[in-house]
Amino acid sequence: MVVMQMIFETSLQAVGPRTAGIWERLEPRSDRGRRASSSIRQKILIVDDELWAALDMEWVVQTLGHEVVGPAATAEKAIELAGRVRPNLVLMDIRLANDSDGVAAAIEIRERFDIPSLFVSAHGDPIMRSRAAAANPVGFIEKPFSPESLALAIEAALNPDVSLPS
Amino acid sequence: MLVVDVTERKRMEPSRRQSQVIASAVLAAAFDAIITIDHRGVVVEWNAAAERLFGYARSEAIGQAMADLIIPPQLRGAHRAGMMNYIANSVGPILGRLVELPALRADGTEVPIDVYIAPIVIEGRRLFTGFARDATERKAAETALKKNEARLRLALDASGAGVWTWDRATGLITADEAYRAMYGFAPDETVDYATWEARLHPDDREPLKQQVEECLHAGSQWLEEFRILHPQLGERWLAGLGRVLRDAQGRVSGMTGINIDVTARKIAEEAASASEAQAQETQRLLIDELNHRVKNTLVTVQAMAEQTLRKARDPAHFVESFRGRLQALSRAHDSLMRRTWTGVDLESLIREQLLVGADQYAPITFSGPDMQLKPREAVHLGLVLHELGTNARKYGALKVPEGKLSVTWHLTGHGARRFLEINWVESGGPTVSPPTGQGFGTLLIKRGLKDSLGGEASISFAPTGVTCDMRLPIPQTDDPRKGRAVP
Repeated sequence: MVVMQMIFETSLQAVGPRTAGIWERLEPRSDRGRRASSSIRQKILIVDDELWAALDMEWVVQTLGHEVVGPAATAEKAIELAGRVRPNLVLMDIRLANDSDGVAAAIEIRERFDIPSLFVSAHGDPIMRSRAAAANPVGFIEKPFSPESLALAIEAALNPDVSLPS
Repeated sequence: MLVVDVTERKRMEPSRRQSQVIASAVLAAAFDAIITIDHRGVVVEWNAAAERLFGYARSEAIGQAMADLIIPPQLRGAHRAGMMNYIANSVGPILGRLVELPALRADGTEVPIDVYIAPIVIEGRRLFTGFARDATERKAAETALKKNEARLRLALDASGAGVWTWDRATGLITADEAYRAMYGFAPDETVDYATWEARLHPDDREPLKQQVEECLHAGSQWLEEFRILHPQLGERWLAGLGRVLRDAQGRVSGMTGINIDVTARKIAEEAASASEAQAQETQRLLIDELNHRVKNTLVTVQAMAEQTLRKARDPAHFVESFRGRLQALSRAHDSLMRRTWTGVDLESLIREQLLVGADQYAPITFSGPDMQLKPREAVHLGLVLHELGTNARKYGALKVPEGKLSVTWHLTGHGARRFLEINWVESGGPTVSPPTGQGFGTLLIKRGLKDSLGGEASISFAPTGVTCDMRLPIPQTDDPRKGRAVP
């Protein structure tokens, strides 16, 4: 943790006055995203039991111009919200609060409500990915993610017919 | 009347002279000592082997009383009585059979001999001829064999081994008590191949029978560990060793071998390998869990940086806010590390998040029951307390020396619905004016409780001081007031 803080502070000193630019960098991409997803504002359910990770995803979703549903911290809450709000897409973490399982939740949400999930998880090992494949997800984004890669994955999931520049 | 033609016999009969020559040669060349005595016990014949065995030359021995030469003093009386008894009654218990007796040598040493004594009558004279052989080696070999047998029996008894012999022709198995007990056969029960086979564990029966067949075919031996089903004891592990037996013609006639009950060893081995596997599994889980935590921490730190940056007014503001949050996260982890990540005491968590740096002497009071928080709760609550503390230091009661902060907590509800309630009350600080919009700090407090902990927080910006009432559910499964929480 101490090392991590040192890395951040050192990097920050190096970046210095240009820091302001960092938080503007997603803008061009989000413009492209808006074009790709037409003008329809879509609902995206965020399932994550960690506040900061959820905030990060919310920011990407909002920047893309979509509506955030949730976040839900447990599988139970995710399924309940999906059934009630009927989002267009679910951003699903795998290890959730109360030892609940994101893969199981994604499978149930797809089967019951025909809503696809995009897994966003720190657990990108082959075993976890093959387990996650059972939910027939629209993608798998590994944490920590870059806002750009998450934005692109969301737009690709919402517009399966539109090919995005890679 | 029977008439027999003896011409041929007479022709074949050697001459008396010839016979004497042959007898002398045989006597001289004989391996055994040959001694002849007369009815008085006087030596009349003493061959070369007798010279070697007893140490007296033929010339020294002939004419002497044999008893004085080679019979130990304590047996001389019995010798004379035996001879007299035989002469009087024609009975001699040691005559006509091989007996072992002690004998004396010329040098006075005693030697055990195997002796055969034959009474003979020549021309009306009663004579006795003895054939004697040094029994030292035979006795030593016998003693050694007996010792070996005793040792083997001891080993068999100590190992609880049962000994068996199987006759291929009859199918019968001859076995000792230990073997019968091992298989649960009654002492008088007839045991054969079929009854033995019936005791074998179904899973081990065919492989073992195959082993035995191969062994019979190859004329070799088998050594195997297998299970049986004992009628009283259930499943038992036996170690078996078998070896073929051959008849006089060299054909395989059966087998013999031993069985040892190795159930206790097997159980110990299985337990050992299970605990080893368990240790490996535990280690794997710990490593997985550690990887998970490290990665999750990185995810949190990155998101924290991104979000703090987006809310920051300028780089200096970002550095201050981000450093504070990173330190709060670090302190929560430190608390958990000290307890090997099993949980953390609520009061320690509050103290560590609030009493930092110069605030060591801040007028903060704490009160509440002892209770343990799980790692996840501890980290999230730690971050929430950090946001409250930062607000108090920058704008609230902790900004001025006369300000006060009281943090109290208690448990409410019962059964499945139990809650930890924490009340944060600031007083004596600058007059509070409600913020115009919801600040990021307030958002982190409210959502930290709601999204991450499934609870709620209400913040009031009363002019006399900020108050915050927090409530979070406590899982039903473990009582935080008793013992240690588990992650």
